[in-house]
Amino acid sequence: MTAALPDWNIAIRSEETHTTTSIKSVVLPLDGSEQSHIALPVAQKLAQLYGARLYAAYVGQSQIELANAASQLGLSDEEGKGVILEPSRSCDPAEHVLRLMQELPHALLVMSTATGAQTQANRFGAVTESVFAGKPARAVLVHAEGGEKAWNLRQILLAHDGTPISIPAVGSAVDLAERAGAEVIALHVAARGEDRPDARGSIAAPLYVDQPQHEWPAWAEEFMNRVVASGAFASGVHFKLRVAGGQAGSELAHVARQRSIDLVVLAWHGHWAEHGDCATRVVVRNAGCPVMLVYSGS
Amino acid sequence: MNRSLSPIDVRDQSYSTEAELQQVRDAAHALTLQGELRTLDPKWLLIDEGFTLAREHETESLFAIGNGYIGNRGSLAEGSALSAPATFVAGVFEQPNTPGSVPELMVLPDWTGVRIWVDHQPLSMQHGDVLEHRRILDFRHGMLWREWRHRDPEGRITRILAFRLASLADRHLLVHSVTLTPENYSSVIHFESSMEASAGAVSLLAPEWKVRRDSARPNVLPLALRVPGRDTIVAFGLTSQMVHSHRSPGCRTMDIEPGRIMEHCEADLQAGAHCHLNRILSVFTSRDGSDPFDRSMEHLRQVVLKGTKSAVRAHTEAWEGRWQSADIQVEGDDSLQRALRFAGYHLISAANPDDSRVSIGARTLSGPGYKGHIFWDTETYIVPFFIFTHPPSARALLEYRYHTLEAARRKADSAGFRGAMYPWESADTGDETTPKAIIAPNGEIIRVPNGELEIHITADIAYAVWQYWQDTGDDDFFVSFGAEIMLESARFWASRGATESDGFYHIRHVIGPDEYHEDVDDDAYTNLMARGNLRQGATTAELLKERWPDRWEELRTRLLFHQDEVNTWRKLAHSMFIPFESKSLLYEQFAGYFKKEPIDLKRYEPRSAAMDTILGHDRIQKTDVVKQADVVLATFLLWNELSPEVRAANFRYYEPRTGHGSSLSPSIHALMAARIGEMRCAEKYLKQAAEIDLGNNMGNAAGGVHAAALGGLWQAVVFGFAGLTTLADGVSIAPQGLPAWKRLSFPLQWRGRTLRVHIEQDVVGVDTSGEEPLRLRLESGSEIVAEPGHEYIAKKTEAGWEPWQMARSSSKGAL
Repeated sequence: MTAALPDWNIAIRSEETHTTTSIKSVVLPLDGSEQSHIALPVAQKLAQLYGARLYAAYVGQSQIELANAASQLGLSDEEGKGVILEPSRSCDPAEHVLRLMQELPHALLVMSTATGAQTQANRFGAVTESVFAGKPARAVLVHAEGGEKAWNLRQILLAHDGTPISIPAVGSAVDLAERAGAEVIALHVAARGEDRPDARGSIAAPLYVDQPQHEWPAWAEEFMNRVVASGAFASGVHFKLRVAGGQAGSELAHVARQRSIDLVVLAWHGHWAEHGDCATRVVVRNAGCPVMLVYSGS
Repeated sequence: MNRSLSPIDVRDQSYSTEAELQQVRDAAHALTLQGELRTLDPKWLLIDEGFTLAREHETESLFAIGNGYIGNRGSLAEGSALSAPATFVAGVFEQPNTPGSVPELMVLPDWTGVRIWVDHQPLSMQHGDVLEHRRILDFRHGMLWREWRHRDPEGRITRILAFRLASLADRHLLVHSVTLTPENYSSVIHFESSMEASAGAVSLLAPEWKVRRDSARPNVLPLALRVPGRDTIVAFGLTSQMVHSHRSPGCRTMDIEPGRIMEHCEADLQAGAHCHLNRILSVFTSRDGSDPFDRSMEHLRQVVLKGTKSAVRAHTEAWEGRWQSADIQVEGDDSLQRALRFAGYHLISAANPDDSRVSIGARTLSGPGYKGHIFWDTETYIVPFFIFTHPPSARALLEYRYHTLEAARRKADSAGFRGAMYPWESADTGDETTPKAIIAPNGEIIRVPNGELEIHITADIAYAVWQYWQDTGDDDFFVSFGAEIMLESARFWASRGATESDGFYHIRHVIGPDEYHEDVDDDAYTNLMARGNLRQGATTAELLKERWPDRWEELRTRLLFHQDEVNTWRKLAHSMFIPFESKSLLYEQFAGYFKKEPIDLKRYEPRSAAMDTILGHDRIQKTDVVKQADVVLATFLLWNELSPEVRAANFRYYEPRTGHGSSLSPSIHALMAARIGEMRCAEKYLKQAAEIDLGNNMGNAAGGVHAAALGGLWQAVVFGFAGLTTLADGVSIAPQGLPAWKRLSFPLQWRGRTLRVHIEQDVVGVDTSGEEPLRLRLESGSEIVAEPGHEYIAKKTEAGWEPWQMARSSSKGAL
């Protein structure tokens, strides 16, 4: 490699302003099962990174006894330190979680995919399904199949489809990367079976690559310029841009596994209940790491 | 903050010269001038309504102004978060001081910055309400207009009307005029106009520049800089003048900061009054001659003496004159009409017939993309436009290849070949400037072999030289410049391949236009073009001997030619291996192509990216997906050598296998589809070609417009839909209009004659002028020897085209 090679790895240094409202509350739904408990390390770490308070929301079937609440939630004494317990105030667990998300200041939901019993094949736990049908603004899903393990944040994979809709996800990813000292790898998937985005200001991978030695560096620079100009950046975050071809969901998951990514961040249109095989679910199931969904409207 | 604040306060200084008084009078008439200059016909305008920050770099490219000497992007004068103002001078390349770097077109200090304060509050689209905003590119007059009506947070409404031009009549001159009107308030207006080195988005290299303080004229801002890595000096002379309705001028001071010089003017304006700021820039470089600084100062003095109004008028007249010989008119398809004028505008803006030491880069002077490098795009896609609309520009572009012939010889020699091997990418010296490697989008480092293997460019240049000579009859060019290119390029081909045991001459290890397949053998396009180059090289030698023996003798002696070598070229052309299947009538694109994995491209539709992005660099090489017109392009270029069956068979075979991963592809497919009568296919590709820059979701015009695609669009209409081919003594037309078209009309230059072709559904007309007759042929075979000064028409009936008939006499002026 020579110094003249264009670098797709850019340290953002500018006076851009944050557009992400910082997280002040992390909500962790627990039903007392081991499967729901696996999201705990992620919730704790994120609460620490944001300097946020961690709320454990009980979403189990049985009545909770306040004196024994931590244990019923599956939290050890050590795990329960500093966690605010939120016993259910509704007979509907999902409603309880969504209400908490609205009431608590700047809340982030962190949740296992296996919260509540699985009632349908190819679906997550019933509570998880119901909560996400309510389109929480910011949420992290931890796939239960991975089991519970310590979690650190060194690499964030940011899905970017080249449209302005991705901007909120950029803000969330960069904000978190700055807090964790992590790097962001933005992945743009050049998809087959999809038209080019036609929203003004979109920048999909180029349809014409006359000379790759010029086109790709120029495209990467333009991509970054547009992202920076959107105001979504913090200073000092190391940012890599990558392009892959294929189906968005499977490519994201593939890259996440291949690069041992710690967190995938993607903008989410809220398509959930009606799509059992949507790209978001594919990523959650197959990325091998937690996935942050930033609701960007439908 | 100011490093050296040296105000030159001319508040009380009277105007010392008549010239400056004239400038003030000009400015006072600015509004009148603007009214006269505006083109209202929307088919001559490109309008960007509102403001979309994310698209700003694309908008700057599309709305760039230029005249072949200098180019300037259509940036906002006050800037924005994404503004990348840039001015380029053709041929002024800088050499970055980093290992492995290649020369790049230098971004010169920006002279267009104008910031405005109303009562000490900056006027900005980011503050307050944008009531109206549009940028308007007037193709007809080569002017960029901006209209902006703004309500600031205090409720003050300000109207701005501005225009910018790079004079086509005086290529060293640029003008920027801003008129401000406070609509509902009276206040002090402050202008800060600046000249500053670009930083950030487009070019990160700040030039070393210094202020020349020895100007005797207080209202001239002089600047000279030395181009990094080169000896080139660029000199600017900038003068600005503000005047408003009641009195003139306002005050004027100058601040100097590192990398930036600012002028300040103020005026106390009443509601409804107008205030004008005119900025005039003169640019010369040491490439233009000695002491560019003095030349720019003297030039500026002369321009001021004659007046801005005069300069602007000369510019608009020059544009109208150029359109006389270039404007294609399509009645019935306004989108295509605008796209064709957009194409013509940017092509005319890119060429300078007065400078044969520069050529047109892949992104013209509209942006920094492709580092300003020159590719085969110029000769194959752009030069034909100029051959038939403005031969002096075509000649200058081809002379550039003559002036870089020595570098092509060096390249051939260093690679172990003879003759001239043109670089895949070229800049100022003509040496190879293709980067050696890139970081691919998946993070891998990929070697770029095009500089070594994409050698068809040498034959492409020779082809263009030959076509220029054939279609212009410019013997002076051919003898003085073209012949040497023909001989040296033929000599290269004679050394590049080898006659193998099968008795054929093979050329191995190349890349054809289909760059998805690298390092292939016996590439059909390359071999066909090389064969033509060898034949024409031999013909050149014979013609020189016969018609210009002195020149032949001079070349023979200098280049050490002998008759045996020329004979060898004919033999090698004869034994050139051309991969052709006589049964299927197909050219095999390269050895082994027919065995590549077949990919059904329809299964990938719709898709949002190029096929190599989707399949990956390694995978695509194993498939039969073709990047762009390759064999199809060869069948167009060698049209007269091929049977109709061969042309059609190859188009129908390769078209479904082509991914159009290059902007050079759709136009040639539109052209070929029209020629073989597949009109739905032709229409689809024509639309695609027209939208390459103008479509709002392509996203890759940020670095400049796609010059080859623009030239290709012109070719698609003239060579494809009108079916123009040239004969030894005239032209042939094979019209294939689209149902929506009521009329297609365009001018042509051919061997000193001026023609205007009109095509309607059932009628073809040709007006001729010039001194000599020419043969007119229709696709049906109907021919006539057309006398100059007449119009000939042919009508189509159910039985076919009727013979040509003389319709009337036409004066030259009518053309």
